[in-house]
Amino acid sequence: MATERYIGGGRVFLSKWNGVTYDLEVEVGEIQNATLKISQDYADAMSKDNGIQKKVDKVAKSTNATISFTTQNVNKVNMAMAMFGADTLTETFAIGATLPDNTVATVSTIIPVINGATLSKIEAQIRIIGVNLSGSDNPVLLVHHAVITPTGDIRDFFADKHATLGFDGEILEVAAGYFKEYLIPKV
Amino acid sequence: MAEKKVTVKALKELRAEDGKKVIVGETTEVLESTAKILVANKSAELVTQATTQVKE
Repeated sequence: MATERYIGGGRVFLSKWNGVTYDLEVEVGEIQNATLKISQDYADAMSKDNGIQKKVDKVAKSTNATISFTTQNVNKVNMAMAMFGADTLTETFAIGATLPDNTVATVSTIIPVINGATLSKIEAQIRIIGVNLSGSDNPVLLVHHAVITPTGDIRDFFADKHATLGFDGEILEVAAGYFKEYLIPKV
Repeated sequence: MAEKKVTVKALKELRAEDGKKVIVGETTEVLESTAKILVANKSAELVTQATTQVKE
């Protein structure tokens, strides 16, 4: 029986904007929640024709849409995004050199590294593919372009439960549009 | 070109070839050239001159 309800989860994919084009889409992974919010600002027109102010019109001034998502996949790509750094860097340590964990290398060792706060802005296209356990459609949200910022603590180094990384994305309108949601029929 | 391996005792924590940590006092096998560096920077001391392993 088809219903119009939604309960479920899904996957979030991200294509980072490199200033010229969008990088290959990668999955954020192990999403705990993903939400879309939209707000509208209005300007009210008031009339005092009869002495008492009465609202006679209301016009939209601006629309602001944001998405938020939280992942427990604390990998290099996600952590680099949270730390405003590149996710492609490594450092090479020669034999005899002291590694970052204070051990001494006995072979030439290449270690992935994130140099924090080397990027001023993270921009990306975002795709959220929902899996609806109840209704007859699976929603797919496509955000053409968003500016992403981390939310909350980036890492609790002494976490006693699985750490999560939270992100907000402020949606920008681009030539492709603002955002759209597809309703994919379940088969 | 073959290179010999020797056993060293860690004077500082070492990161072995397989990535495992070698704590102070433990021994591990390293290439002879590596051992020279580790001994020179006081990270390890030579335990045995055993020369068995080869590396291409």
